[in-house]
Amino acid sequence: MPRMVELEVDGQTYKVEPAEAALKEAGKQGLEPWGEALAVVGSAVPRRRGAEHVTGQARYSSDVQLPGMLHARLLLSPHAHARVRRIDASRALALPGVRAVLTCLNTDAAWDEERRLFDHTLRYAGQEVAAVAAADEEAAEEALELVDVEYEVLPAVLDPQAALMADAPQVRGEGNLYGGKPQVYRRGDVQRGLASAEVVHTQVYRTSIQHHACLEVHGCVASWDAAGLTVWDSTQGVHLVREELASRLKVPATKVRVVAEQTGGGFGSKNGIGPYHLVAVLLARQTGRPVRLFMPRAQEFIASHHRPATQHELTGGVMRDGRLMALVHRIIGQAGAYAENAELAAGAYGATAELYRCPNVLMEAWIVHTHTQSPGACRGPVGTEVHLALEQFIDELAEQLAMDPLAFRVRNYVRADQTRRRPYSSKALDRCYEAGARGLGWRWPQDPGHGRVRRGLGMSSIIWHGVQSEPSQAVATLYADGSLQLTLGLALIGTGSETALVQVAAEELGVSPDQVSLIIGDTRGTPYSIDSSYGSRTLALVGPAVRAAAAEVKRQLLARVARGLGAEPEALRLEAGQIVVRARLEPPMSVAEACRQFVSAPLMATGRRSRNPRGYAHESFGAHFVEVEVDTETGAVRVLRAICAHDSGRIINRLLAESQVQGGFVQASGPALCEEPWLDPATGLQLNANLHDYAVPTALDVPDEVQALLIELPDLGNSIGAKGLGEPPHVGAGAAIANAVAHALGLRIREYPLTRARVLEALRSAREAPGAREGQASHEGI
Amino acid sequence: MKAFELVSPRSVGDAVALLAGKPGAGVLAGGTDLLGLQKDRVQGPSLPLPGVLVNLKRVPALRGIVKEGERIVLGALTTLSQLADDPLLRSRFTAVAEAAAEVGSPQLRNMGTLGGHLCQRPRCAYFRHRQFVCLKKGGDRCHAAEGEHRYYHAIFRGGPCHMVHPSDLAPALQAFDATVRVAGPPGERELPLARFFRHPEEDPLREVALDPGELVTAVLLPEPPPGTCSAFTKARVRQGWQFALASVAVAITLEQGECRQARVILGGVAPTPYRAAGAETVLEGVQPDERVLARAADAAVEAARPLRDNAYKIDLTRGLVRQALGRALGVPPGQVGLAGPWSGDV
Repeated sequence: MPRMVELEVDGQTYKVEPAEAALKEAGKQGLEPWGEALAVVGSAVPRRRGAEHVTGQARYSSDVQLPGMLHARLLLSPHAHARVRRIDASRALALPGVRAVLTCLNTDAAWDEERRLFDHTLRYAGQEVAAVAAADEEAAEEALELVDVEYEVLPAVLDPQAALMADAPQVRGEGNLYGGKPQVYRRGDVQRGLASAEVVHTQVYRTSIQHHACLEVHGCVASWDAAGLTVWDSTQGVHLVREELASRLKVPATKVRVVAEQTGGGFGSKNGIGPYHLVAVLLARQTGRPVRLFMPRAQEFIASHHRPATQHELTGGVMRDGRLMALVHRIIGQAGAYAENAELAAGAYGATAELYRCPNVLMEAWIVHTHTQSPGACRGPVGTEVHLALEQFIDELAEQLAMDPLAFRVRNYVRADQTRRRPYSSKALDRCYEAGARGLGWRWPQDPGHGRVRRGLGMSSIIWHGVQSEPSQAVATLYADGSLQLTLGLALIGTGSETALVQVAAEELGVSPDQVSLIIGDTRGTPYSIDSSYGSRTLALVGPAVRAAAAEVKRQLLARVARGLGAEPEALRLEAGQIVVRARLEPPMSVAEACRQFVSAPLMATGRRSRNPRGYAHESFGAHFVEVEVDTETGAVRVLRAICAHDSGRIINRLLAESQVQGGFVQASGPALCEEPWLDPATGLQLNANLHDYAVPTALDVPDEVQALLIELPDLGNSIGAKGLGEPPHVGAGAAIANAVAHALGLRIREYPLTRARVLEALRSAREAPGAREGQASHEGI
Repeated sequence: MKAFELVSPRSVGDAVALLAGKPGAGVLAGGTDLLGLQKDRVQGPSLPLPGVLVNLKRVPALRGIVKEGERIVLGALTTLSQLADDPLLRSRFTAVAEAAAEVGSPQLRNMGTLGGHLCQRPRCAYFRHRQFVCLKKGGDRCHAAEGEHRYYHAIFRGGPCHMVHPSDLAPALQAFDATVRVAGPPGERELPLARFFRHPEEDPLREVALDPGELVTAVLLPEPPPGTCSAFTKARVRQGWQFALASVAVAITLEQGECRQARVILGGVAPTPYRAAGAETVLEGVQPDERVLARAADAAVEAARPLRDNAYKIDLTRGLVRQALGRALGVPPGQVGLAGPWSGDV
C-alpha cells in the first residue's frame, strides 16, 4: 500500500499519494519531475517530416500498391430498414475482371454478437449488403450495379423522439431505449436544491451531427502470405487493429501485422476495425490476392460513423448572489441501430457534474435506438455536445441574475472533482479565465451596436478527461555514434506527437532532436506503446515511457563512462548535453563523444510509464473567448477573433500545441456555423455525402486571429508534466461562438449550426413576436 | 468513373457535326461539372450517362474577349478567372466581373468556362444522388418538394421541379441584357439570355434552350448606357467554394441623380434567373435614397412563394438586394451620416 498523505482543498480533506512516490516506483532509477530550465522540451521544434505532408510526398496506406492487387467496393443498403429477400450476384461475377462477390448468401462471418458482416436484415441506410473484388476500381464499381438485390422494405424510425413512442417500430426488438432505462448520475437532491433556489430556469438545446471529414478516407490493403496477414491501414492505432483482427479471425496476434506509415486524419473515427477491414481480409483470403478497399467519399460518411445529434433539457437553480444550487440535465442521444457505440450517443457524466460547484446534480442520458448508422467517437465525443448545451445554459443563468457570465463562472469555481471526491492533480482554469478575458478584452455589459451589423463577445469553459493509469512501453537504442533510435508502437495521426516524443527523449538524454530517429507506425518490432491514439492521451501516456527509456540508456551510458574513467557513477552528471564528473578535472564531454569513447555495442532499454499517483483526478481545462460579427440583414455570422486559453500541463512543443488549438477551434466552428448533413426525411439517406456540400470550414472561414494562450502548470500525474490537448480546443469552441452570437443579437438560437437560415428565422420570429415594436422597417434589424 | 470516348474537334463546325452524329454525347469544356456528374453516375431513365464526350478545348475560336461593333463578345471557352480579371468587364460591367470572382474557388475558376457555367446542371441533392430518380432524370416526382430543401431550392416560380439555377454569372449577364450565340447543324443563332434558360414547366429534363447538336459559342454584351453602375452580391453557406443560397445582380443607369433604367436579377432563388420587375419599377424614375432602396428590396421578394423550410431566403434576398443596390450606387457599406439622402447604413 503506498504511503498516503492528507491534502486540504476548499476546506475538504482528501487522502492522496505524494506524486513523487508514484514516479519513483516504476523506473529502476526513479525520475524526478523536470525543473524549469529545459533545453529541448517546450521549444517550437517544427514537426518531423512536416515538409513531406505539404509537398505531397508522405506515403499513406491508401497509396500502397501491391503486385496482383485487387480493388474492392461495397454495396450498401439504400433503405433504413429492410430484409434481403433475394440476392443474385451472377451478372456481377460474369463481368470481366471480377474475382469475388461476398453477400449474405455465401458469407456467414459475424460482425459482432448482434449481426453478421452481411446480414439478411438491414437496420440502417448504409449497412453492408455485398462486396466485390475486381482487377480495377472501374470493374468493381460496374459490378456493384450488376448485383441484383430484392429488398423487402420494412417500417423504419429515424428520429429518437419518435422512436420513444409506444407504437414506434422496434429497432432491436427490446424497446428502443438502450439498456431499458436512462443512464443516471446523481449527487445530492435536486428537488430540494431547486426548491431552495431563488431563481429557477429551464432551456432546451439541440446539437447536430458532425462528421470527421478525414482527408484520407477509411480503408485498408489486406494481404495474406505464409507468415500470416498484413494490413496496411489508415488508423489511429496499429496495435488495437491487430488485436481486434486477431480476435475476430481467431489467429494469434503474432500472425497479424498492421502498418500505418502515415494516417490522413482520424479524429476518433479510426480506432479499431470496421466491417470494411473484415471484408478486405476475407476477400484477400478467398482470392489469394492482396485486396485494397478504400471508401469512395460518399461511403466515407458511413464508414467513419459520426458525432450524433443530441437534445438537452437543462434546469438550473441559482441564488441571487450567483451560487449554483442545482442542475438537472436530461440528454437524448441517438444510438443508431445496434448496441455497438451506443454509449457514444450520450452519457450522464462530464462537464455538468464537474465544471461548477453545485451540491445537487441530476444527469440522465436517454440513449435511443433508431434505424440509422451508429455514432462514433468524434474529437471530444459526448463532451462537445454537453459543453454546447451546458455552457450556453450557464450564460443564460447568469443572464437571469443580470450577472457577468464570466463572474458567474468564477463565483462557482471548484478546485476538486465533485464526482469522484478527489483533488485535481492540477487545475489552472482560473488562470485561463484571467488570461483569456484579458486577451480578448472581455467586457460586461456588452454593446452590440444598433446598426445592421452587430458584434458580440462570448466565452466558454472547458473540462476534458485526462490520462488515467495505463501502461505504456517505449524502446530506446543508443548507438556508438551517439544517435538515438526510438521504437514506438503507435500511429502518426497528424497531431505531431511523435515530434514531441522525440523532444522528451532528447531532453532526457541531452542530445539534439536531430540525433533521434523513429521506428513507428507498424506492429512489427515495436512495443505496445498505446492501443490507439484517442482521448487526447498519446503524449501524456507514451511520453513518460519514452522518458523512462531515455533515462535508462542514459544510466547505462553514465555507468560505462564512469567505468572507463574509473569514477563512481554517482559522481557523473549529465547537464545541458554535457557529461561532467564531479571533483575531477576531465573536461565536460558530449553524449556523442562519450558514446564514441565508451560504447561499443548499442545500449538499449525499454521504458515503462509509471502509474499515476493515487487519489487524484486528472483533467485538462481551458476557456475560449471569441468575438463575432453578425449581419442582421443576411444572417451571416463571422468569427473575428478567438482567444483560446488552455491548461494542458507542461507544453512539450509550443508550435504543435498552438496548431492543435487552432485546428481544434476551426474544426469546431464548422458544426457551430455551417457544417451539417442533409438527411432525407423519408429514407434517412445523407444527401450531401461529399466535401462540397458537407460544408467544413475552408481557409476563408478561418478567423483572422485564433490565438492559443498556453497556461503552463506542470501536472503532478506523470513524469513529463503534460496533459492532453487534442480534444479540449474542439470541446469549448462551439459554445463560445454561440454565446457571442447570442450577445450580438440579444436573442438566442438553441439549435446548431447557427446558419443564415436559423439566424434569419430567429430574427423574424423576434420581429413578429407579440410586443415587438410596430412598424419597424425590416432593414433596421430586430 | 465509367469509361468514355473522348473526341477533340478543331473547329466549331466539326464539334457541331460530331454532336449531331452522336446523340447523347456530352460537351466537355472545363469539365468542372460534367466530370463530377460522370464520376457520381448521375443518370436515370431520361438521363443516360454520356458514353462520348466532345472536347471543345482544342477549338481556338471559342476563346477570349473581343469587341464586335457595339458589342463585347465573350467566347464560350473564356475561363471564369479571365472574366473576373478582365479590366473592361471590371470597369464597365462590374457585376459580371464580380459574379465571376464569386464562383466556386480559384481552382474551379481557373478551369471553369463561361459556356459550361451557363449550361451546368442544378445542385439539387436529389438530382445528384444515385438513389433518387427525380423529374430531371425521368422520374415521376420532385423529392425536394416535401424533402430537404433549405438551401438550393426555389422561393419563386418553383414546380413541378423546385430546382434553382446555380449560375452566378447568369443574373449579372442578364442585368446587362446579354445575348447568347449558339451554333448548331442549321448554323448560328442568337437569343436573349433571358430566353436561353427554360423553366421546368416547359421541360423538366433540360435547363437551357439548346437543341440536339447545338452548343454555346459566345455571350454578347451590348454597350451599357452612359451612367450605368452595377454590383453583384452573393450569400453562401460558408465563405468560399459554395453555390449561392441567393444572389443579386443589379445594373442602374442614372441620369442627373435619377434612375433611368434599373435591372434587378436574382440568382439561386428560382429555376431560372429571376427578374425582380417590381423592384425595377420602384427604382425607375426616382432619385434612389435609402427609403427607395428598402422599398425596392421589399418589392423584389413580393411574389415569393417559399417551400416549407426555405422562407428565410425571402429575408436573405431582400437584404442582398438592398446591399447590392447600395454597393452599385457607391454607398460605403456600414457608413452612417453621409451627406445627402443617405442617413443609415447600407
